[in-house]
Order: sequence, then C-alpha cells, then structure tokens
Amino acid sequence: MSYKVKFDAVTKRYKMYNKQIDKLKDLLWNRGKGEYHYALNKISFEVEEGEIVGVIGLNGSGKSTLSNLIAGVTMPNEGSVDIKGTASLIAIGAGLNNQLTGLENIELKGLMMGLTKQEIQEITPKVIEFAEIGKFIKQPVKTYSSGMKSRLGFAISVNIDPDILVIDEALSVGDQTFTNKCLAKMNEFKEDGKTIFFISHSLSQVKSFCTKALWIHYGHVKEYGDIGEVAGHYGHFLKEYNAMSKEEREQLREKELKEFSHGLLSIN
Amino acid sequence: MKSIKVVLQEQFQNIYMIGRLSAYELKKSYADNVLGSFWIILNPLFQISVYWIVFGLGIRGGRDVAGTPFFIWLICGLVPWFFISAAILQGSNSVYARLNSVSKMNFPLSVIPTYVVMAQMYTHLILVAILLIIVMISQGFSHINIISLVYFMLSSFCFLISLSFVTSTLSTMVRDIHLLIQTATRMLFYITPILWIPSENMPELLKQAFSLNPFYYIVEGYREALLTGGWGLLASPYTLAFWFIIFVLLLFGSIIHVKFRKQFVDYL
Repeated sequence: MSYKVKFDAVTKRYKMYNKQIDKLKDLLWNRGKGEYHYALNKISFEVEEGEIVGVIGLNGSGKSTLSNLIAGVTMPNEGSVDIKGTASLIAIGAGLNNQLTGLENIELKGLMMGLTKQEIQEITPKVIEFAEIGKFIKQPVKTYSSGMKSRLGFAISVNIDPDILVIDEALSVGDQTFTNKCLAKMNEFKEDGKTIFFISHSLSQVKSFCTKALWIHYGHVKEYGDIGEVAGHYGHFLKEYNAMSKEEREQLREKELKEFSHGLLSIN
Repeated sequence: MKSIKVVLQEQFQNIYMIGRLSAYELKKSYADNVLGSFWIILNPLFQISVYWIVFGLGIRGGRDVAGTPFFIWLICGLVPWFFISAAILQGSNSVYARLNSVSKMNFPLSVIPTYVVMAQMYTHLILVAILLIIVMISQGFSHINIISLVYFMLSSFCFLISLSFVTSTLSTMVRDIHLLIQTATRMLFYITPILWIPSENMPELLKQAFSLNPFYYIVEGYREALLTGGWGLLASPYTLAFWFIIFVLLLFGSIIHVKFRKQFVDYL
C-alpha cells in the first residue's frame, strides 16, 4: 500500500554534556562515547494518506521530537524518515516575529515556507478571515494575546496547504469556538486525502477526531493502530498511572527503560 | 566544491525571498524606536563626530591628509567600516538568532547570512549616497571614480557574505566564537588604518602585512574611488589576493555550513 510517511528504525538521541567544552571536543574529534539520551529509539511505522494520527504519550516520551522529525526540522541519527510531499508543523507561536505586524508575519512566514508572491497575495485574505483577529492584524504581534498568536499561526500554516500537517499542542490555547473551527478545517484536510499528525494531551479531542493513534512511551512505540483500541488502552494506563505514588512511577520508568535497553543489547 | 554549488544554488533559487526578507530585517531593526529609520543616519553621525573631535581636532590638530581635509578623509573610511562591522556582527549572530523562528519549518538556512548582510547593505547605500554628496560639495566631481566605487561596494558585499557563512556556522555551534568575533571586530577597527595613516617609516614587512588585510583593501578602495579617482588599488595584485581570500572563505563556509546545518537545531 502507498504510504505518506514512513519511519524505518528511526533513532534520535541527544548527547548529554556536563560541560560546554565537551561539546567542542566532540565537534573536533567526533568521539562516540559519552552519555546519551534516547528521545526516540528504533521507531518504525507507516501512515497512509487520508489518515489522522493522534500521537499520545506522557510528557517527555518523545512526541515533540517525532513531530520535528516529520517536519524535517531535525534529522535522525539512525534509520530513515521518508515523507512524500511537504510537511508543515504548527506549534504555538512558531515562526511569528514579535516586532512585525500580523500582516507582515503572514508574508514573512509564507516566504519562508517557499510560497511565491502571488500565492502569498492569494492566501492573505483567507488567513485574516480564518484567524479572526480584526484590527489587530495591523498591530505588532507582541501586543497579541496567546490565543491570538496561536490563531494566527494556525491560520497561516493551514492556508499554506501542506500535504502533511503536524499539529503539536497548538490547539490547547484556543477557546472552544476556535478549536471547533480548526477541527472543521482539519476534517476538510482529511477529505482532501491529506495526512495529519495530531499531538495532544486531550484524549477526548484525539478520540473524536483521529482515525489512528500512535502511543509513544519512553521513546518507543507502545502501540499503533485503530484509535478506539489504542486510546482505550492509553486511557486505562493513564488511570493506573495517576493512581500510582511517586515512587511507583519512578519504578515503572526504571523498569521500562531497562527492558528497553535490554532489547537494544540483544539487537546489537 | 559540491558544497559551494549547493549553497550558491540556494541563493539564486531564493533570490526573491532574500530580497523580501532583508527588507523585513531592516524594518524590524528600527521598528521599536520612536525615531525609526532616522537612526540609520543618527547613529553614524554621533560616532563620526566623536572620532573627528578626538582624532582630527585633538590628535592631529586639524591637519589635512595629503591635501584632503581630515574630516572628509575620515568619513570616506568610516562609512565602509560601519558597513563592515555591522555586517560582521549581525552576520555572525544571524543563524543562531533566527533558528527559533525558522526551525519549525523547512527553510533553506543558507539564505540567512545573505539576507542579513543584504539588510546592512541598504543602510550602507543610504550612507554612501550622503557621503557622495558631501565629497562632491567639498572636493568637486573630478576626483570621483563611480565605477571603482561600485566595484568596491560589490566586492565588500561578496566578502562579507562569504565571511558570514563561516562565522554564522561556527558561532551557532560554539557560542564563544560569537563573543570572540565581537572582540576581534573591535580590535580590527584599530588594526585597520581607518583613523590613522600608516606612516612612511613603518617596517616594509609590516606595511605589506597591512595591505593584505582585506578590510584595509576595502577601506583604501573607497578612499581611492572617492578622493583620488585612480585605478591604482584595483589594478594591483592585492585585488587578486582579496578575491582569493573571498574564495577560500566561501569554500570553507559552504563546507561547514552544509555539513553542520542539519544539526543546527540540536545546538540551540
């Protein structure tokens, strides 16, 4: 089957430096040793077109790293990420310049996304209409409320019309009306056969809207499949997790990480 | 060589983008001030008057430089220096300062140093226009060599962009480099004969070393084009040396830029 996004054994790790000088040494001699933090570890999955994938998981499980990889912002250390088409990442306040006005920001972001002059002129009224920020559009972005910023950011990204849309928590600051509007827009995207990654902590939003779910747990894929099933398991897990004491959570983390590095050892 | 091709290709493919982004860059830098773009003239005016009073009236006691009033001689050197120092400092910080806003999208990072230096070029053009008027009024038209002036403006532009590829990459990866460059620029101002005249009784070797300084080449070039109108410097072997330096900087800058740009975001 044709896929839109394919992750093949993708690993993203960050080296932990104790001192800045170690960073420099690394650059000069490219040493391999040291302590690494594995944000994502040997992740593999495929997403077909027209799917809306809800990415769920605890804080620090690697969701944002995943979204950065899809958008091509960072590169994996190992494995390959194969994206068919252009991907656009919507994160809160990303790419907005505080000193410039909303109108100028539309052009600026459009330019950076590689739009031509005509395309920018075409989308500008659509963005203004969608963002609903009224006369503030001619004011510098620094005077905006956080909701207005995220509305503008979302409106620009959506109207640029990417093949793949990655929404990283960007809806959490909007009010219900705007969230509904965004969800409606995303449904349009879905019907156009575009692929959307939806990263959110709101399980109800994910459930009501996504077709599939990707549960990431400490850097690896815990479950990937139909939304109902995965979200059910995740909801169950969350309940258990919330009921745990601090020590138990710590223990679970240790256990999971250990199993995980075990798995790594056997692979290596 | 391949890296140079990649970088140059990105420049030419995104030429419209560079133009627009540099315009915004210029707008942004004066947007917060009440006097706005008036500072383009105001800031150099203050500096020139201080240098003139201290070095011209104070140290030199108002004596002229080979028939040219010291004030005219001074501004012909200071105006290109304002461009050089601003472009070095902004260029060095260019990628690091903008990574946050561009990192959430797939954006050709190699255009950042170019448009930042380009934005400095606009203010420089305004100053050169004013400089031309002053020189014309006080010295007449006969000594102005416009072709040579345009050549030196373009060559300094090329030089500063090539330099910015090197400095922006290095100072993104190791922040200390940016501080180092700030200090070096301040020292360069005194090492380069802008405020003083290399005296006749200087050792020959030292003189040669000074002449190879690319910044001296630019500053002397401006002075020659505006005050004597000859072709001496342009026709000298120093032109070859200067362009050789540009080539080396561009080669080295492109190689490290292309090699490290995928990791830029991880260095934030």
